[in-house]
Amino acid sequence: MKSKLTKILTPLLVLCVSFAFGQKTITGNVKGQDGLPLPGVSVVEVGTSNGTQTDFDGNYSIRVAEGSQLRFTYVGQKTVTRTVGSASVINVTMEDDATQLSEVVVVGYGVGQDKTKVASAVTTVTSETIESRPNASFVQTLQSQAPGLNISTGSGQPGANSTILLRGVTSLSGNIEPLFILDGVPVDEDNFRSINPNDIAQIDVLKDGSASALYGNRGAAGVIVITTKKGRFNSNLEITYRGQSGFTSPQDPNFDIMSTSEIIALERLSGSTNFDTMAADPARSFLVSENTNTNWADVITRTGSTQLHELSFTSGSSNASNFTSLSYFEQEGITRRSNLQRFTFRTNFNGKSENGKFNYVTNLTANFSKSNFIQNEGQGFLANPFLVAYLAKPYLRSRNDEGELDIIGLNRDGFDVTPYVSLNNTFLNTANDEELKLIGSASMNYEILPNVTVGGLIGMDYTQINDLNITSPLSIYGQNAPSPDSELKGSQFEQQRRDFQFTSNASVTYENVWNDKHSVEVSGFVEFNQNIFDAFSFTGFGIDPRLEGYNFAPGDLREFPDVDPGDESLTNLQLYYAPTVGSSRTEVALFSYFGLAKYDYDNKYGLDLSIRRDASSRFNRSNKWGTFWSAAARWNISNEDFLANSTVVDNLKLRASYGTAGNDRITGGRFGGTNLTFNLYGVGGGYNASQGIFATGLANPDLKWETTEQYNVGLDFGFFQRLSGSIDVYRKNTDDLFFATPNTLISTFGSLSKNIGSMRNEGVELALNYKLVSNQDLQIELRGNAAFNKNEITDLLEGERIEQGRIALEEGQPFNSFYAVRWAGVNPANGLPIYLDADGNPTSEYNPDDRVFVDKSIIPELTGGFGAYVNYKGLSLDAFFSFVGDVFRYNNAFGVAEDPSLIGLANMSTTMNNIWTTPGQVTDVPGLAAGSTRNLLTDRYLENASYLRLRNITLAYSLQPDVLEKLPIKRARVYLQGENLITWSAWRGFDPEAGALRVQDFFNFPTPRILTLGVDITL
Amino acid sequence: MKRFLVKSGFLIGLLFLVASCEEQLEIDPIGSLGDNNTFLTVNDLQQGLNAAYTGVDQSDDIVFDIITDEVKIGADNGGQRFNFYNFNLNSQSGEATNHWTGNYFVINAVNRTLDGASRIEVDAADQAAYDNILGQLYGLRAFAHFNLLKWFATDYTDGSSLAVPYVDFIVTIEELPRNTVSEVVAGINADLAQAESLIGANNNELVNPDMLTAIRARMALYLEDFAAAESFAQDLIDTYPLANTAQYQAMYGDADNTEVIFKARRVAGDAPIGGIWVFTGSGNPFLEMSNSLYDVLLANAAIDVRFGVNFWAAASDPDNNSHLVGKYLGPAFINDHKIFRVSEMYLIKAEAQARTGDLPGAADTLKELRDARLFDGFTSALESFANVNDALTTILAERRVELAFEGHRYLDIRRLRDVLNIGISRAAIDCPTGQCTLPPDDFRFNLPIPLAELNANSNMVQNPGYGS
Repeated sequence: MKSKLTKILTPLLVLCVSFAFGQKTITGNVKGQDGLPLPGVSVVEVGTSNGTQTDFDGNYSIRVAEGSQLRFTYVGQKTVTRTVGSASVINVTMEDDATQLSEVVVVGYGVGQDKTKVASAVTTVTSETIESRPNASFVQTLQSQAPGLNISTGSGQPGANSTILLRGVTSLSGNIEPLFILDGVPVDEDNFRSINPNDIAQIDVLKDGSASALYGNRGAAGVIVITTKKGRFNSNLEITYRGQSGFTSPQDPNFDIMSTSEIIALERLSGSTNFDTMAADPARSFLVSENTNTNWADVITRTGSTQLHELSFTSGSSNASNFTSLSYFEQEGITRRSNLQRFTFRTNFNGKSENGKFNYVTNLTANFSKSNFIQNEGQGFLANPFLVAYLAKPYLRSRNDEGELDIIGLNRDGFDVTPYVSLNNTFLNTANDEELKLIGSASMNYEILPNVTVGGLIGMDYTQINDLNITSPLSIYGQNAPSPDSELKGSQFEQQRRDFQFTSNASVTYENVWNDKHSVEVSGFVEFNQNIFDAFSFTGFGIDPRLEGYNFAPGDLREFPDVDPGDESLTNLQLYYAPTVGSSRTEVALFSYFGLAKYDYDNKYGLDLSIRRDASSRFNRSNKWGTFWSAAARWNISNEDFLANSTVVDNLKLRASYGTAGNDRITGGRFGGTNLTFNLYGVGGGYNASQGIFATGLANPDLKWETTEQYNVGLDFGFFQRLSGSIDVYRKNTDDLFFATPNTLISTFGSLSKNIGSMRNEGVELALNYKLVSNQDLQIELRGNAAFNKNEITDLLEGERIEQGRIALEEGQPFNSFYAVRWAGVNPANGLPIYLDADGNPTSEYNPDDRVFVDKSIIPELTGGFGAYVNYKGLSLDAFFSFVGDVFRYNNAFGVAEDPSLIGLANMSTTMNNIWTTPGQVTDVPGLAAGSTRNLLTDRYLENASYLRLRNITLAYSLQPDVLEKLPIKRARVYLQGENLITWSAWRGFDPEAGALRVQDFFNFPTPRILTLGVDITL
Repeated sequence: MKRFLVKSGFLIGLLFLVASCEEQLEIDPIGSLGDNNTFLTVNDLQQGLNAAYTGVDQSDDIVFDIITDEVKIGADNGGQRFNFYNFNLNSQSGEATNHWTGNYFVINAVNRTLDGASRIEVDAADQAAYDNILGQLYGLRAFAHFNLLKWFATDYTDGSSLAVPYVDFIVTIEELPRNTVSEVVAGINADLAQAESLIGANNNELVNPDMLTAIRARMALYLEDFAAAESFAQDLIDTYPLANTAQYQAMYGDADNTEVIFKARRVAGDAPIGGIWVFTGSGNPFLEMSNSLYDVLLANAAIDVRFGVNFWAAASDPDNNSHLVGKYLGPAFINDHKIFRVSEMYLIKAEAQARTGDLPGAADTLKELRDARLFDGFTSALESFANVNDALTTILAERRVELAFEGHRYLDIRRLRDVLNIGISRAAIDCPTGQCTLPPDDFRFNLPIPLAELNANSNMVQNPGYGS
């Protein structure tokens, strides 16, 4: 802004001044810190419009007045100013300005903003944190990197979706995840497996009401703005190769299951003598032996491989720059079949006119990935390998007589052959998908009048997923598909899903500076966002195993099972192979217009205002529009005169903001709840193979925006050039909460989405960074962040309690609090459970009416991370820990392994060695007579899932300048890193981490440990 | 001028970018019909009827055989119905809730279609089809209300006791109170009369005049109007012969309809009844026939067709306490739901005769049924009942065999528990969990109103024993 003012004024100044001094020509050369010439450095005579740029070899020549000052500026370098004296040659070496890039914060629409002028609560994560981490999805890497950002991944499938919460849960049933903006384009927050994390330059986490109000219609749960890497104008071609190779392996399970001798003893004690029966059964005895002691967890898990190869190119001329990358990534999960292969391509192009008044940018990424999945993840089916790890009997053999893994067993389904059913399915059947993902945008802006810029952007996120599930005719499950009676076997399900999100916006901006101190920016926007989801699927039956995946029986093939020749009649006819098909389409659209205003006084005081009106297609005409606004103010205390020369205070900025934002995603998903204001009828399968008309939707015409308001006060600080950080305090209130409210079942619609209540989140966030040692050879840096968030439902259906199994919602309680009968141990006299009644008195009777809130919720109150970085002459060690505190889940998988009613069917936990057997025995495991208790609504298996985890540790060596000089490379780094190496937790399972909304664990797919060796080389 | 053109072009381009956007916000539901375009023709009404029929289902009744002495936990049980088997019946039990939701589904579908019917104009050529559709709709509404009555009414014989809401309009958010037994019965009778006046001569896979009579017969028995029960039952006995043994076996393979008054047809892809007992993929049982019922059938195994029909010999191993249910072995365990068979009418008639003191008549009726179930060359002995209770005990035992796994046992015991002072009583071998009896006065002989209904409906009242 300042430069624009000077641009207007300088012709006058030049006229006045140029007569006062003689002119002379200065030449020189500009080099970077690495000693290489810097082309394209801007060389300007201070106070004039006189300027030039360095050429390809870093040379410049300029005619200036003696005694004037020359200013050398270049992106990413510290600005250098030199006074023109008698010498006619001025050579300059510019220093890297590592902080400069990260100090630019991307808030809202438009380009980055100087961090000192940001009035809202924003945390920036730079590429240094994200690059080269072995997680398929960058979201996993973000965990614990920003205070208040709680990311949890509930699956070890490479690239699996994570649940992302920013400052707690802000909706009961609506969307709770932040809006993700990638290079100005809103993208699907649930699918990042196809994005190359190394393409990301910076991620800005917008937390308070002022920042998210800019995205009013979808910013209620916060906003995460991702900026990918760009080329620089006037830069030489730079080529970077990154390579990484390593392996994934299971984390150490924190529970023990029984050995052969233990489980056989327990079976005999319980009377369900599965082993003895099998051993005596000639048809089954070959599978079992008292001498076999299979560790099924070892059999179903594996060490997988992971690797990455990436090439990226950047270059720029004076008016065009480009960043291009290509990568291949693959990772195997820790159990068979699970994997991800990914090919990515990105090209980002920036261009401008000679005078800089017209700029345009195109970003495009095209990615293809393929994943194979395990079967029945997190479900109680025998095909789920992680069920096998808990429940398969150790006395069953894992290898057949040929020494190969036994994937047949008895070639049938059943609890007695649990592990074989799973292995058989894993080896013989198919579950995969292929994803094509394109994200692209084109934007431009043009300074159409002095101080007035118009701009526009169009962008899209296109995802096409082809799912394929094949039940092979040769597999155990294939014996029943399509029917046990059909002659041909096997089935194939295929689905194509297409998700298209389109965004366009246009803007006008006016900016100006008066008296060098008053800076003003006002802009107006119009925005349109449309989402289209199409799905098509079919299931075919009767597969020829030689043509698996490409062939099925004709749909009109007729069979007459169990019918004697000649008796074929229509009554006996079976059309087993008639394929089933499905098709659907959903559309959602948003339209908005909004205005922003920013005012700054002398870099000391600032005020940001925004207001916007948003319309959503989800609501009917009268409730379509929502109005959201925000205000934020800052005081850059360290820029005041009294601190200007302080050696103590480097930076001190006080921020305060208030803002409102909306949520139109009534049921959470981007395509959910689009028709809830309509009464709906649909056609479907009616009686006796006819077509029927069914009522499919009950309208609630009164639905309206769910709104969140947020107050935030924060302080950014920096002291002694060593300690820096920020502290924020906030309160968020969400009103008109969406919830599928109970409705009379007589209507056949047991729930009706309504706006029914209010909820509050309040918390404190702290981020600290401390440079313990900082000199040429040795740097030691400590960093940490922590966030405390407290959630409370403040209004819900006039005090009614909504029970949802183990959890319940009620005024005064946090979101999804456990509501259970308290388990008080085992009565030593009879081995039966003791419960506490609602009043806290011991009772032997289980009664669901004795449930109480046990002060435990599925959402953690405490999250954060801390780490240390040590670098000695290029050899560095970086360790980062993350923690989650005060979070609870029901451990139903462990409950199964302690369920006495399943002793014959399943292996048991070693804790069952303590089963009550004799009167007077003090134990916490009830006797057999107690039966199954895990499905009762008690807190017996309600466990603390808090953990501390060594999330990442990296040992790296970067080649030093003296070595690099002799080599034709600019930078090189080798490293060894480990992900999830150590976890401390009381949780009895494979992995305490779970998706944030999971209420109970049931044989879930744990996240892996990953070890990789990598190299980064830049030419 | 050139600059002006460039700038104007840029602005116009931007306007195009965002123009024509607002009308995109008016998105009508895709792939769904609305209030105004759903029921336009008689054929649409037929499709509404086709939807209503899908809620006519015997499985929910059959599931209640699990908490009687007909069933035991099966060899491959991994928790399936385990709590229910152990008499764990509460306001959140799906087994009870399904009766509520399933029958109100039928009623809602009927009322929506009737509402559509009231708003279309009918050509003379379509009038008969239109009437037949309406007749079936009223018949279904009567049947669904009777099902609700039999499961949820607190006392069948006390007309002023609470039953269920009788609903003849489209319920959306109305919080309806429970009607009394008399009110619901009046509604059912009115619907039956409407149905009888409109319905055509449909086959036994649709609501037909005989099915309406069968509803009346069964309802009269429940309401203890024995004269009416006997009269309606006799009407059907006069119309339908009893199946012979070969026909009886074929009937459970859905190949014979000799004695079937009404059955809900099931085709490939529909839910399998057999899935109540076994994993339909593997055929492995998680529930099996109880030893006590097996022993009763075994006593006549050589002469009575019902041993082979009820017991799946090929998959069972009685020596190892393995007794699989054999009644529903259709393709992929899918079978037609034979909801009214004439043999039930014999049992209704016999019970009505006994209750009205005609003990020899009851014995004759019973013998007629029994003889039809014996293989050629065998006949049963004529019973000689000492008193009413003796007759009722014998008839109840016959119902247990004839109607095994057809969803009658639990309600039969409920109806007769006060007269005979009986509850549910399992043999020790059938209840290793120790849950062997349900005493006659147990509150669980009356189903709980679903918690979800109570939560949503402030006018709803829970049945005794299930909390408030």
